[in-house]
Amino acid sequence: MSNGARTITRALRSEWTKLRSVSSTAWLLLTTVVVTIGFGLLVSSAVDTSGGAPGCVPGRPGCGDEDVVLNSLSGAYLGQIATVALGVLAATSDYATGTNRATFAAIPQRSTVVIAKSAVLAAPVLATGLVASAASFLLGQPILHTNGFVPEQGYPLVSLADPPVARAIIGTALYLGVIGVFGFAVGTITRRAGSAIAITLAIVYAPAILSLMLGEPLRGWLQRLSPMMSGLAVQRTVPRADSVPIGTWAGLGVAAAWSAVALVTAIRLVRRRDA
Amino acid sequence: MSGLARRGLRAEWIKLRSVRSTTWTVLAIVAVTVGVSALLAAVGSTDANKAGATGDDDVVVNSLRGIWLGQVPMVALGAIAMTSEFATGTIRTTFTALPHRLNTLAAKATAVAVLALAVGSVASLLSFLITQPLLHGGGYVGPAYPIVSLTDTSAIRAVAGTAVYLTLLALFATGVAAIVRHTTTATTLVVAVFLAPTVAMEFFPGQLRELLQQVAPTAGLSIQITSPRYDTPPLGPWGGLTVTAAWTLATLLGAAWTIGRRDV
Repeated sequence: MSNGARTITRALRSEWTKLRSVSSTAWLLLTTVVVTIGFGLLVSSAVDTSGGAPGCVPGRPGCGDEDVVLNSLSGAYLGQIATVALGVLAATSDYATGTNRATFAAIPQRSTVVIAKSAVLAAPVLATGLVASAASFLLGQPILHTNGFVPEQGYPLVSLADPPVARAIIGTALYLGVIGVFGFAVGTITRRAGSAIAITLAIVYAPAILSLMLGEPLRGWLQRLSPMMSGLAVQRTVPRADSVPIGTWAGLGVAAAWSAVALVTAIRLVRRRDA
Repeated sequence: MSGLARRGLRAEWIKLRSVRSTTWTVLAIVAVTVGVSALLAAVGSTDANKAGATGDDDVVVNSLRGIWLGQVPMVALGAIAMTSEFATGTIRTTFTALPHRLNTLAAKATAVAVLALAVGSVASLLSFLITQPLLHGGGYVGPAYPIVSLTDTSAIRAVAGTAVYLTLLALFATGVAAIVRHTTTATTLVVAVFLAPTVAMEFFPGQLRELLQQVAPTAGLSIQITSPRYDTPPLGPWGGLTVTAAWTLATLLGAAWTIGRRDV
């Protein structure tokens, strides 16, 4: 094994030990799953078919424009708060305790450390995100059926085998991974958990809220820029008048770009700063 | 004011104004609120200003939209005022010097309230004054949109009410912070409670969404509304602010309940 590869393996192993051995990691992953599934079920129970175009003929095109896949996966809009907190803490706990000095003394290649940290964070977030979104979908669909989302009303049955459904579920997990890394990068930049969480949640939610108060074309542009509105466009399987005006994968790309830019900034700062 | 209360208040005021995070959060509250309000007004426009038509946009609400982002540093201000002492351990000295803990809680809340009201007023007033000309430039002109000024009672209510709303928010954060005693947890909880529900509500059908909007802590922002339209919450400006005040009161009561029952 080359020296470089050995450094990477060591960094990954030590960061993984640090992440999994604090109790907040397990709690925040559990919270992400519970809130995502719980809110998804709540929305699935609350929505009704009246949201479709008025006066439409059941079964005809244009009738039934609610997105049953998106509705069952809507819990990610709230569950991500715990993911953001997890990402931020994965970055800041080293600074809070002073362990970062030991870390950088043991592995002086600081960019390797930051990348290893983000990798060991992303893996469990992706895994639990996939569990949360698959469970939300599977538990939500029967509830939606009993609420009147049936083929006779213009809502054909959907299953995990449908490519758009699989994309929405996998995309939701990817989004949670991306937003977790975003929180991690902001945490690495500010080195303080409180400010990092406040800044990350503000960037995630505020543009979405403001976009609701704006007219076109401003609304569309703000939504395209928002990591959440764009990123969760990956859940869309039915285009509607009020859909975020961006493609499903392109939307996830916007969220990934936010993470990438923040992560590159974080690495530059970590290399330049005193430990 | 009794000597005890005065001493508590003086001590808490020194602690609040002498930490660097207070300066930063105060600057951020004003800069973010005014900046976002002005930016949205500068890039926005209306096409509802045809002669004789009644525009249904609320130019007062539109001049104060930056509050949605500015409330985030306000949360930090209210939370850090309480948690910084738990983080450094100063809280033990404080409670030894002034063993009447409710007195300390009241003093901290008062110091936060005074500062938040002052900063909130500046942020809200500047947003309104800077944004109105920008809105005129964006097509918000008569007859659909008559000029509003600070001499209109509804405009005064909106601007002053926004400052009061921000004060209630800061106190809500202080209350939550006293209960959880960690900046991170407190900030996460308060930001989650004030921002996330607004997005989450969008998933619910009309009637349920309307109900949720009225019981959410952000209901108080209805104080900004000066011209009712189809989506105006039926609680009214003061009713909404009362809902926010109730949330704040509940967390402060919770804080008063827990602060005397714990070891420090």
